[in-house]
Amino acid sequence: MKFDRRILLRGLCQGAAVTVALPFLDCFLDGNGRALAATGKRIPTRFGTYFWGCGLTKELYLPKKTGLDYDATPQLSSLEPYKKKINLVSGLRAIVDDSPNYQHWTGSAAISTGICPTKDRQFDAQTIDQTIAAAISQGTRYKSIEVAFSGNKGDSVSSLGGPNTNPPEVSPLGLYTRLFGPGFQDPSKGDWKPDPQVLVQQSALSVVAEDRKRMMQYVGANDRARMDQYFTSVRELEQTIAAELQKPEIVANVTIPSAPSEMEVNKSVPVLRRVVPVMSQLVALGLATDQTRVINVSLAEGASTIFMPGDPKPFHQATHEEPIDPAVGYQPVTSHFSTYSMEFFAMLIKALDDINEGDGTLLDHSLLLAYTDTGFAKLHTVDNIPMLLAGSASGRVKTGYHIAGGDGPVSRVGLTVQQAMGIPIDSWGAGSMQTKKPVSEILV
Amino acid sequence: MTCSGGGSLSKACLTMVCSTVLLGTPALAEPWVRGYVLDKYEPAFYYGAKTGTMAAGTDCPKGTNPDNNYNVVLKTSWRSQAEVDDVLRSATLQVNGKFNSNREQRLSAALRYRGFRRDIDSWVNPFTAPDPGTQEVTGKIAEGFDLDHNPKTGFTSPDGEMGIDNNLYRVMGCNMSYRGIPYTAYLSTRGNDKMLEGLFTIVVRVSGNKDPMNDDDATVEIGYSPDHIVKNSVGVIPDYSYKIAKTTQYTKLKAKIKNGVIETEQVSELRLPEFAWFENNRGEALLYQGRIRLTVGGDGRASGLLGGYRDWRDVYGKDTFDTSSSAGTRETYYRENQIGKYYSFKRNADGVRDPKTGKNIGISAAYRFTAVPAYVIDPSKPARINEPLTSSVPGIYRAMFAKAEMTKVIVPDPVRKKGEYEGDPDLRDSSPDSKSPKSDVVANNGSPQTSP
Repeated sequence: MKFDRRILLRGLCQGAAVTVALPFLDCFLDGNGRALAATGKRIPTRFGTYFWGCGLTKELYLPKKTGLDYDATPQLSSLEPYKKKINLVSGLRAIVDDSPNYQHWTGSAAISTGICPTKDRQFDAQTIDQTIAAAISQGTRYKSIEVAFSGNKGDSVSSLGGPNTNPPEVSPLGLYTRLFGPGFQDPSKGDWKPDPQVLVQQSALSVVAEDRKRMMQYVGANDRARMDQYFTSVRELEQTIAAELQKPEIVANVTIPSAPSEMEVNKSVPVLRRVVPVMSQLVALGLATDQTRVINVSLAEGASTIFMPGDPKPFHQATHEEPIDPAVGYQPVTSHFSTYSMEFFAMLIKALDDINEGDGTLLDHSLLLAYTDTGFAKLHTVDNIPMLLAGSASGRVKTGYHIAGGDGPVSRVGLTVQQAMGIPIDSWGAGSMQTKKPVSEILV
Repeated sequence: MTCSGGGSLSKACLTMVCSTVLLGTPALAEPWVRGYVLDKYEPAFYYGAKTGTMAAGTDCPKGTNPDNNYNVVLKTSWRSQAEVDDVLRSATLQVNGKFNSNREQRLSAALRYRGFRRDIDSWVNPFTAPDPGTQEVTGKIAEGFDLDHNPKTGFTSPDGEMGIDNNLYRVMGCNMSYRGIPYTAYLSTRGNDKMLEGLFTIVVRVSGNKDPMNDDDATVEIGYSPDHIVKNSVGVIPDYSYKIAKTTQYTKLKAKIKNGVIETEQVSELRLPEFAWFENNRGEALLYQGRIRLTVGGDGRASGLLGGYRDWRDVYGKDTFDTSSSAGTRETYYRENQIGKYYSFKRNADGVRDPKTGKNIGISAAYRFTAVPAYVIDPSKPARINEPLTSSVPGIYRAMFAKAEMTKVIVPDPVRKKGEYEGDPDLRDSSPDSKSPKSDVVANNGSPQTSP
């Protein structure tokens, strides 16, 4: 029996119809384990971001050595099993030019857009994940999937620009339903037809498209630009619908993952330790089944309020109130939260690395950019912001390095990531953040 | 006079030239200019302990002021213990097992109201609340100047000079944000990081006509520069050029230099950029009867002190309302008490007597700084200040406080939109209507729950 990667699973879960796409199985691949046997296409390279607030503790995370085989550090100990699949980039900064340093905003927005924001809580451009998604997510069910481990709908760092962010999934069950709930038709049925609702949507959009063409003839340049931005999302919807109208080629039955039960979701570290592995596995499955090729995961907000029950202060408040212990040179309690933030990133990495895919794992065919908002949260600094890259982007990125950035702009990493993901650019960012210098040491 | 001699200098002319060269050798009598850009700047608060930022010391024998006891702070004649308990319960991290994302706002909103009546904003009208007391500096040593020329009043400098006036230090020197050995206190490190990042730039230009080490006819200029400080990973890079803006943040003072120590005259108004740590508290600092002392080291770097009397009402207004709710940040994150601070300011105001009321509106203050050599230049067109990008709301609150303080008539709350917020992401205050003891506690999924 011949199988295709578009195989879907159907079943009932708590009374609701559930359809599940399959991960990449070896039987879909050619003898080298790299290309799809049916189409000859390579396994898609996926992209993801992981954002955590309030940074790391320099004294505890920063290795003394650079390059390969850099020294292990306490704050990155949870990432140690994946060290050879990770790059650590240190020493880069957001260069604010004439813009203020908006606390807990400038650093992260600069990394994700290449521009130091001119307004608080507004992106001056779309975030890097959306740029990459526009290039690699054609034909997938979702252009991108946003997730907030914190359970807070406001904790998304993915945006098309401006003040709005793409709403995240905030619970395991919600994420499961989004990924594997109703919405797919079973393509194994002989009488497979496009979903009537999808056809209606397509029809409505066709009307909109006609109107759009007519309107564009009569509006000025500024309005045309605004309209164009607006219709970008419409066009993306059209592409999604077009993908859903295509019948998958082959169908087979495989194990259906069961839906997670309702779980308590909040910013308590013990709760996060229960929730993050579940949501990470769902995210990984969403990537593996090619329902999306781009994920954005936030641990919590920039001024992170993750907390440990029993401690009097959450993370952010501790960064400001806890004095530096002169005996050790850092804030002991605060540093624990930074360590937890890396622990949760390790859970996400594990979920991707646990899925075998062709000649490697899902992580090997992905590139995850982990970043934060500050180099030293107590002072809201935007220099020495730590960033990590996990996965080799299907071999386009060398891994296992510690790169000391030498005071350059954080946009160097964004440029590197986009080039690794196949975006044909040689420059990225604006103002002093504009760079033509990727982290060439790790680009293949 | 011209020298002519058909292609060769005449003897007389040669003699004159030689004389000129010889006389000119000590070019020290020529006009000279030295420029500096500040790389560190902070309130001059003497730390009486040896290490760290929190230890008990000669300045504050009880150590840094501790967290507020909210059980006491929130207690008023109209707020029952049950209401206090409710605020504190909902201000904890978890309520009934649910994470309480509204905790800081809830506490901050309650702290705003602790006057003698439920509807009075006590940050705007602090005189409506009783003095809760605060630990002031009790040590004898302080940095600063003898502003009132009375060695019998004030502190003693670390060098033994008597009569040092620095009551801003007395009021605020035991607070967490300002304690520490020089340039290590919390807000000092934060402010200096932001200054080097581009939040503001201060330049100093010293010029004279004699010897840069000894000149009784020198001039000191201090002011804002619109140019960002140029730094690398080590620190500020010397010898870059900075424009000086002769605006409301600029002052020119006469000075005398003796053995490399520059002492300015005392001017009625010394204006320069404010010590600031984020966009909202950037602006102009005005010191009455101000003066500057600057010492140039062998490496060309300079260190200095500036001081004068600040209008304590202006200091309180900025401190309390760099956003409409920054007092909440002070009273939670920074372990300060704005009401206690208000009374301490009034108690310690020691200069600039208001002829109408007979009361002092000035509080003596001093700031220390270090600076690296730079070229301070006059721009071809007058340079301007990059005004802070802030909303008008904090200014409205400061004006409300100023009006209330001057008239002692209670200023009511302005109409605020629900959830109105501007600026400081450290603490997003909720609107005054959340003072209701039964206000909402936001559960983990963002949906409101009634607090128990």
